[in-house]
Amino acid sequence: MLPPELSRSATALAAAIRSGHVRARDAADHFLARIARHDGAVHAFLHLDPVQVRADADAIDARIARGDRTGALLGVPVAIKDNLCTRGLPTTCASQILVGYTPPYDAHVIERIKAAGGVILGKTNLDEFAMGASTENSSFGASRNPHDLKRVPGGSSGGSAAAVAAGFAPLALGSDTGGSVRQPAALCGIVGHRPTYGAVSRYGLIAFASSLDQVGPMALNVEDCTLLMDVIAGHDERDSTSRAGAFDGVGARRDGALTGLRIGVPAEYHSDGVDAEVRAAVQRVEQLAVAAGARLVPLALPLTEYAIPTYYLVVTSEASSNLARFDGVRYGPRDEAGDLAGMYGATRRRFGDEVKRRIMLGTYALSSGYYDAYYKKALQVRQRIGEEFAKAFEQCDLVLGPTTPTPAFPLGEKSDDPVQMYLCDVFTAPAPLAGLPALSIPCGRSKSGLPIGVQLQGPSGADARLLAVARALERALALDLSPLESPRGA
Amino acid sequence: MELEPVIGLEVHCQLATRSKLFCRCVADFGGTPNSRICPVCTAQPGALPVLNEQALALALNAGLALHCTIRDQIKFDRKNYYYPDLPKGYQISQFDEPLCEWGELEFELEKGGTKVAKIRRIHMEEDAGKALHPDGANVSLVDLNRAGVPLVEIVGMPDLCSPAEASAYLQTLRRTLRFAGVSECDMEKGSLRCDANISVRPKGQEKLGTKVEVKNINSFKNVERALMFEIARQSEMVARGEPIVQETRSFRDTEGSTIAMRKKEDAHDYRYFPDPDLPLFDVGRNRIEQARAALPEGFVAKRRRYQASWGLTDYDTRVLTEEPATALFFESVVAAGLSPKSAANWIQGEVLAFLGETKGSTKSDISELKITATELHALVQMEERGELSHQAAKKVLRRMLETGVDAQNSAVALDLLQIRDSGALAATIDEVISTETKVVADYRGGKETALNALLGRAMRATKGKGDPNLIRELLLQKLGKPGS
Amino acid sequence: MDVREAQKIAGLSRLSLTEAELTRMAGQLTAILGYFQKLSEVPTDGVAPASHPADMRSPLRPDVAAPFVTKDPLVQLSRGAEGELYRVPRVLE
Ligand SMILES: [Zn+2]
Repeated sequence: MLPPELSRSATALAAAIRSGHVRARDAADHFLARIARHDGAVHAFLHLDPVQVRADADAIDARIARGDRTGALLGVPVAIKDNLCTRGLPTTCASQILVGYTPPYDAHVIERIKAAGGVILGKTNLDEFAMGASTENSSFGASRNPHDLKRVPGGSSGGSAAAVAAGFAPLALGSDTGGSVRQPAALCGIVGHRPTYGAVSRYGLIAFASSLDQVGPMALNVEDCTLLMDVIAGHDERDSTSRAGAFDGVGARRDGALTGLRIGVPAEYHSDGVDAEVRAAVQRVEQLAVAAGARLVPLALPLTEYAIPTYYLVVTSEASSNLARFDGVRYGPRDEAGDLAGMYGATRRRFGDEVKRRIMLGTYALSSGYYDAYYKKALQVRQRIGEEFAKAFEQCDLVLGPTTPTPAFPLGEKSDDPVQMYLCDVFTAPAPLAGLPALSIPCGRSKSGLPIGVQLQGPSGADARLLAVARALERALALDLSPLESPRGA
Repeated sequence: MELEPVIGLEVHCQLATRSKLFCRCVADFGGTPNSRICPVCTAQPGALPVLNEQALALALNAGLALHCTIRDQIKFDRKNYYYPDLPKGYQISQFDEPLCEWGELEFELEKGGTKVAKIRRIHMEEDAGKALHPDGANVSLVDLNRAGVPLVEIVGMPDLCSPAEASAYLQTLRRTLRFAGVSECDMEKGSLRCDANISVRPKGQEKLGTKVEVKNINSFKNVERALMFEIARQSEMVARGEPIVQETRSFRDTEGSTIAMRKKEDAHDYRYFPDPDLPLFDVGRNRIEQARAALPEGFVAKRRRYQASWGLTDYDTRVLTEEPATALFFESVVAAGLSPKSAANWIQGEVLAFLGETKGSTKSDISELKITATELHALVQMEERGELSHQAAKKVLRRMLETGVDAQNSAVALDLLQIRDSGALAATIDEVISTETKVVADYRGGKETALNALLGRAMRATKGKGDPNLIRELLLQKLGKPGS
Repeated sequence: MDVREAQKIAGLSRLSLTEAELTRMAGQLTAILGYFQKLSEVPTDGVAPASHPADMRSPLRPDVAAPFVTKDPLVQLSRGAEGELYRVPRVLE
C-alpha cells in the first residue's frame, strides 16, 4: 500500500516514482488492489486489464532503471472515461452499440498521457455517449457515489469522478459538454476542470456535441488537476477546433491569485432553486476570497435560465448527426434483420432511451420546417449568451457560483423525468455554449456528509488563472482532500 | 405545338489533389478495395476532419477560371442521409454559402459563333465510397477508397437549349478545368460526373416545364444520347397530354434510355447544418488575388496568343490547345529555341501521330512522352545543319519517341547521319559519272534536268545518307554547267 | 409532436421504435419541446447564429498523403468484413 501522502497526491506520487522511492509497479498494485476491493460497490470501471496495467507499470520501472526519468506523469495511473479512444483497449461509450469495439488508434490525450509516462489504468463508466448527469444512462449499470452508495456520482463522467474520490486512481480524464466533468466532480468532492474550448484536442474523443465537447482533467486537488492539464493541453493539427497557444502551467501554479481579484457574483446563481446548504457553502467561499484580498462584483446574467433549452437544442442537433455513424456497417455490433433498413433499425435499437430521445429531438430540431424555430433560434440565443458573458468579463475577472443546485441525489430520483435531469446542468451549461473554461472544486459538505462544489468560470483562455485562483481558494478552505478510505453507505 | 428543351448540367469534378479532402489518405483513382482508408474516412468514433489546403486552392481556381464571385470566408455543412457508402451518415458539403457563385462559361456553337452559359454556384464536398452489387447475390459490397475524395460540384443555370449545346458546354467546361489544373476530368475514372436537369416547354413560353433529373450519364457521348432520349420522351408525353412527373431518372447505356429511379423513402430531408467540427475558414482576399494572378493560362487565351504572337493558324492552335499537356510541351519546345511554326508542325505531325498510333487516340497523354523539349529541338537542329534529311529526321524522331534515346544516338543507331565528307562522296560520284554515260551525255548536251537523275543515282548509291546539297555541288564541279 | 410525426422523425433517424415506444416518445418530446418554447422569450432579431464558440477559425492542412498504418486492416473491425470489402444487405441502385 502507498503511504497516505502519496495516495492523496498524484504530484507527490510522480515525484516519488521519479526519485526511485516508489516503483510504478507498487503504485499500480496499490490502485488495482483498491479497485478489486471496492469497485464492486462503486462500479466506476467498465474495462480494466490488471495484467496490462502491471506490464505497463513494469515498463516504466524498466525505463527508470535505464536512467530515463522524463515525463510529468512518470508511473502515475490515470483512469480514462470510456468515450476516449484507446488503441487495443475496448471503448464503448457505455453503449450496447459499441460493445466489443476496440479502436484502431489512441485519442490525442491518450498519446499525451503515454508520452508523459502515465499508465492507462482502465476505462470508466459514463452515461451512454455522455448523455446524462448521473451515469444512470450507462447501459452497463450506474456508478455509485463513494460518499453515499445510494446516490449518484453525477455524470456523465461519473465513473471517473467516483474512481478518484474512492481512491481507485489519483487522476482521471472526463469530458465536459454541458457540465459532465464539473458536476460529477462537485457531487464526488473532487476537482474537475473544463478547459477553454479548443485548449485540449478532441481527436479521439467520441463526439456527443462537437461544438461543446472538451476533455478535462479530474483530480483530488488543484495541483494534481494542473499536472494533468499541463500534459493534455496543447495544439493538435488533427482537430480543426484545436487552439494555438500553450497552456500556462507556470501561471496556474502561481500563488496569491486572490489578491485584487474581481469576482463576479451573479444574482441568478443565488436563487431559491439552489439548495440552502449549497448556497451557504458558496457564500463561505466568497467570504474567504474577500478575506484573501478579492473583491466581489455583483452581476446580472439574465440569460442563465435560457441556457438549458439552448444547450439541449444545440447538443441534440449535433448528436443526431454525430451518432449517425453507428450503423453496424464498419465496426461495432451488427444486427441483421432482412434488408438494409432492417439492419440499421435493429442495430440502432441498441441505443438506450435517453440516446434515442436526444437523437429524435435533434433530428426534429434540424428537420425541414423546424430548423429556424429550434436549431437556429438556439444558435442565436447562444450568441447572446456569449455576449452576456463577454460583458460580464469586462467587469470581473471570473464568475463564482455553485456548480450544482443540490448535492448528489439518490439513484432513480430523476431518471424518469428528462427535464428534471436536464435542469442539473443549469449552472454548468452556460460556459460551454460560449466555449469558456470553468472548474469545480470542493467547498464543503452537507450535514449528511455529501460534498458540495463551487464553480469558477473565466473568459476564454483563462484556464491557468482559474486554476491559480482555485489553488488559492483550496488553501483558504483547508478541507481534507484525501480519498475515501472506503465507500460509504453500503 | 413546337417544344423547346431547357437543359442545365450539374457536374462533379474530382480535385487533383494527392490526399483526400479531410484526411491524409491517397486520393488517386484505383487501389485495391479499402486500401486507402483511415479512421477519418471510415468514420471511426472520435476521428475528425481537417481541410486540405490544395483542395481549397483548386476549387478556388475552378471559380476563377469560370469567372465566379468568390467568398472570402466559407463554412462547411453536413448533409445528413444514410447509405452504406457514406461512412459518417452525413456528407461534408457546402449548403447555403458556396465558395463560388455566379460565373459563366463561353463555348462554341456548332453553327458557328459562341454562347455564354451562366454558372450558378461551385461548392466543395467530399465523395462517397462505392457500393458494388455482385450479380445474383443479395448483398452489396462497399469500397471506401473514394470516400472523402475532394470534389467540386459545378451547378450550371438552365441556359442550354439542345443536346449539342450541352455537349459543347461540357467539353468546354472540361477543357477549362483541365487547363486550370483543377481536375483530370476523366469520366472513365469517375473524376468527372455529369447529371442533367431537363424540361421541355412550348416555344416562346417563359415559364419552365417540370424538371427531370437524369443521373448516371457515364460518358461524353452519352450526354447527348441521354438528353435526346429524354427530350423525346417528355415531348411525347406532352403531345399525349400527360403530365410530366418531377423525378430522378437513371440513364441506361445499353438501351440508350432513361428509367425512373426508386424514390428514397424520406423525401430528402437532408437536415443541413453547419459542421460543428469545422469552424469558419478565412479564404482571404489575399489568397484569392494571389490565385487569380497565378491562375494557369486558359486555352482561349493560349489560342489568341499563339495566333497573335506566333502567327499560327487557327487549326494549329486548336490542335495544340486540345490538351493542357500538349500546349505545355509545345511551349517548352518553343522555349527551348525552336520556331513556333516548326514546333507546331513537328508536334502536330509526328508527335501526336505517334501518340495516336500507340494509344489509339490523339488524346493520349503527351506528358508521358519519353522525349524532352530540348531533345526535339536538338533533332530539328540536326536537320537544319544538314546532318539529317527531313525524311531521316522523322525516322529518328520516331525512334526517340519509342526508346527515349536522344537525337544524336538515335540517328547513329539508325545509321541515318548524312555523309558530308567530300572525299567519301567524290568516289561515289566518279562511279556514277562513269556508269551513267547516257545521262551524263544528256546533261552535257544541255538537258539541265539530267543533273537530278544523277543526283538521285548518287543518293541511292549512298543509301540516302549522302548530303544532297553537297552531292549536287560535287556533280557541278565535275561536270560544269549543262551544255558546256 | 404526435405519433405520426414521431414515426417520421424516427425514420429519418433510422431508429426503429415500436408503437408503444413511439407513443411514449411523442409524449416526452412534446413535454421537452414545450419547455424549450421558453426560448421564444429571448429577442434574437438580427442576431447571428453561433454554430461555434466565438472567433474560431479552421486551419488548413498541407496536401500530403500518408497512409494510415495499422496491424490489422480497418475492414476487419466490421462484422460484415468480406475479404477487403464491407458486406451489407443488398442496396437498390
Ligand atoms: Zn482517410
